[in-house]
Amino acid sequence: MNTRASFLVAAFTVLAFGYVAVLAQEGGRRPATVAGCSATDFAKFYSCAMEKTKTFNPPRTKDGLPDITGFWSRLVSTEDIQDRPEVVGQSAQKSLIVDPPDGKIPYLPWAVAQKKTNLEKYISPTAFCDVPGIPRMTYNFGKWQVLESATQVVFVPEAAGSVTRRIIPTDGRAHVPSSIRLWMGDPVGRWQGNTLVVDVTNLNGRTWFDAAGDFQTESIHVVEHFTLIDKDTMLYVADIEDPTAFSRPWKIAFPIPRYQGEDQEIWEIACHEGNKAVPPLLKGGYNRFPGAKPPASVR
Amino acid sequence: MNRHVKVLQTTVAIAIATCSATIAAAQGTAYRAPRMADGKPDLQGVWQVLNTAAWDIQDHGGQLGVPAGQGVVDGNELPYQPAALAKKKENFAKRVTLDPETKCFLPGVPRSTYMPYPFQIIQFPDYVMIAYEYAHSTRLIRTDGQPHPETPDFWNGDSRGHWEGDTLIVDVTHFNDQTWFDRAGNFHSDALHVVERYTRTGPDHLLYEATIEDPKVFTRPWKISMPIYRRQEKNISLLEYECYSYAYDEDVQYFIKREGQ
Repeated sequence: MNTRASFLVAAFTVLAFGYVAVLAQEGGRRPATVAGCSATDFAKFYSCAMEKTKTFNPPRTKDGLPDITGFWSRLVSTEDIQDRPEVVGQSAQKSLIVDPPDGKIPYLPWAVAQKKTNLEKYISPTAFCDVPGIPRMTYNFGKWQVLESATQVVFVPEAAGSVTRRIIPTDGRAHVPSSIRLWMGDPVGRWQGNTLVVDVTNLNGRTWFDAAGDFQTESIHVVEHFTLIDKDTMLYVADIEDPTAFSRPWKIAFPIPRYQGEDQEIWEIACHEGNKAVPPLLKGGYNRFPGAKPPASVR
Repeated sequence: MNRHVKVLQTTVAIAIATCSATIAAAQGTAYRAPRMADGKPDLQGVWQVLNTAAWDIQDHGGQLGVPAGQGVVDGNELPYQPAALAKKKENFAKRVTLDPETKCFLPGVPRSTYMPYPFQIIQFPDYVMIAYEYAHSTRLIRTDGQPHPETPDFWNGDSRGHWEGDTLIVDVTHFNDQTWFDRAGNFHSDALHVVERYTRTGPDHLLYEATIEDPKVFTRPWKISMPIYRRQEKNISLLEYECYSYAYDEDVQYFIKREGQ
């Protein structure tokens, strides 16, 4: 991404969300390790954390399920999920992609061109206060709360008042019919050993992975895995496939540390209601991402 | 008006509102709600109202796009102060552009309850969550006795709940002055204080009551009540209504067209 575009993305992210304090704080204080694994090299973190999942016995809820309730924070930034050098206000971040090993999104040729178009013509949908979608939801908020019952797991991020929350049923229900396309997709959860596995389909192809133009289509299928590796750290893994946009399935992984602040309560942060970013965006020549139009050969 | 008379009126009004709430609750006790594991009444499920309060909480005739309807306000009259009544009339006249719902803003409380979309109640120990389909709006209500914090104002206010017998009582404060009660221009100030009561009256019904006070806008507290119905579809699932996301779409450009007005 060129410097001007980077600056605009950062500026409008701030305008739209007011999360600059959270980003600066978390970016500035990023620890070297978390749960005894690297907190900066996510490929190393992933293999280290996977070892820990074999031995860590998580606390249980009254229903006997792994207890992931409580408040969680964000260690990674949502600017770019691939390797990113230092930019204005943001420290460098290694790719969140742990497979393929080169850390690059395995775009099909048409999708490489689409990403370029995205950067030239469009701005991150979250600047319009659109929901972040999946998997971006998991690395878009500064603080979020998890609540659990025998039949569902609920995620309530700060900004829940207007941006989003997730209700993940774990009662064995099926996905809604495929013609129903949803900004946040349709999550179907299950407990597999100590891991919450969430199968997400029915996404509408309108959300991005980050602010760098990395996109998906309606064909995307995400399988997310949330696993405690110690009492204060979750391993997050998302398996992503979208045969319309990518040449092969790929995987992101990163740590989710427990939120340690004393303000253990989620308050409303209205986004759209105070969003002044849209008119200058549109005047500046940026458009709203309408979803990619893949060529017939891959549809 | 003499201040003492005003206080007396307010006191009597609160007494009447409390009394009628008690009667309703007493009627509600004919049905004992099933219990959660922690012994609290089970209010969980996907619910929706079947009335016309979204258009107008008071009795109203029909117009294009608005079905006639009986109101949900006890006694039907809203006790506006004179200046506030004039503002309500102006709101009604300009409702197409002034109604915060037309801007896809968060609806506030109690309006969220009777929007024409379903909502889901999920209970946890120490929390009741009300998840609205409209714009993923969510109220996570602590029921562990924590008082309202010192906070700025919120669109949906700050909700704190407790249980009294079979009834969930939610005290809501810290509102901004931007939300309305309905599409007819009924409004409030940032002094709004709402006390909601949710009571199961049967396997598939809730009684919803809300006492509303706002000394900057009304002369006394007033009350609304309505049944809420459990959605009966076997496959019912809360989906989404992303109001502003749809409104920004290029083939709609609703907000952009509004700006040009």
